[in-house]
Amino acid sequence: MRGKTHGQALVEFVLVIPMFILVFICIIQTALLFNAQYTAKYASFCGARAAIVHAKFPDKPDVYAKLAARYVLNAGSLNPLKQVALVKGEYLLFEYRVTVTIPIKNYIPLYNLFVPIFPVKASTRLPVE
Amino acid sequence: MKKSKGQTTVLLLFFLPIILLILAYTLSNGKLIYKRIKLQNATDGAAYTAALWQARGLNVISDLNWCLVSAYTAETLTQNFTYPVTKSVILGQDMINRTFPGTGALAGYNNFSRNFSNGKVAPLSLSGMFSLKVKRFGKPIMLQYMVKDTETAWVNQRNRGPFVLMIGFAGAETGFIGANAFGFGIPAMKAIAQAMPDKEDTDIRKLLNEYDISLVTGDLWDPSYEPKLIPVSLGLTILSKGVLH
Repeated sequence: MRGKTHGQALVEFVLVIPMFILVFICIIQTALLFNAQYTAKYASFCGARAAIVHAKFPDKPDVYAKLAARYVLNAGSLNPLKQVALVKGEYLLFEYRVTVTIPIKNYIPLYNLFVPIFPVKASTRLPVE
Repeated sequence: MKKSKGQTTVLLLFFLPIILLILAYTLSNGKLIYKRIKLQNATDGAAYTAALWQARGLNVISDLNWCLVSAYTAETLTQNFTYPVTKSVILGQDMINRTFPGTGALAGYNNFSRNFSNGKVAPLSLSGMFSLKVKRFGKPIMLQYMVKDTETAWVNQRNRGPFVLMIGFAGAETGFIGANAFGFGIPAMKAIAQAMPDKEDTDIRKLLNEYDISLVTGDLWDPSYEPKLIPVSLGLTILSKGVLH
């Protein structure tokens, strides 16, 4: 059939572009999640290490842990949610565990409505004597 | 008819470098942090191990001092180290105790300054002790620890004992194109750790056992040295600036 096919490319483009943008957003989101993951890991490691190095016996090491973790989180990126992150320190018998939770906003359009925020958690345990 | 196949490929060609850049950034950051954590753990472990060996040495010295005192006195069986232990034995043990607290068998001799004229001497007074009031299941009990901050002593107790300063270094990694291709290489990095054999804050047994222990007469209860990671203090001030990166 030899009809006029003007504008075929445009129509195809219009149909393809949303998929492209969706995939692109997914890639960016994944990178953001990985970033948050290793930032949280490093923050928890620094917090645990600061706690066991600086803390003396009657004092609680939570203060030092939070300080070090906040330092890492604030230096990490411009994402304001990283500063809302939750830092938790808990005593086990001979170790100290720091858990850092960073909330990351979900940018994927329809998935947005069901899962608005991805919480990214990481924790480290270091021995305390 | 114009062929219009492959238009999506052009779009991909436009987006591909962006995607690869994001990927390279993410992966290089992750690898960097992994390496940094491993380096710091290695440095801490090395410092801790060195301080552990020092602590073992000091504990051996402590035990040997007890043996010496036993050998010099007649009260070997009863372990009753009061008079007539010889004055020189007591003075020697007191000096050792001030230098490495707890390694000497006896401490707290009264006329220490008159018998050792070199250097200044701090009198071991109860007012200088670091005391901790602890409330447990009942009325509060008073635990007395050793003297923590003496201004002047035979040896400055703030820097007592040996300490270990360990510096770790990891070299740069060669990347796919070069070490710093497009800024995504893994550069060289360093880590620092300090450890010390310490005797005081590690003893939770005192708290658990409800002993009200006064250490004026010496560590007859015999807690021993253990290694401890401390904030990095290269002599005077503590470097508490956060994380070295």
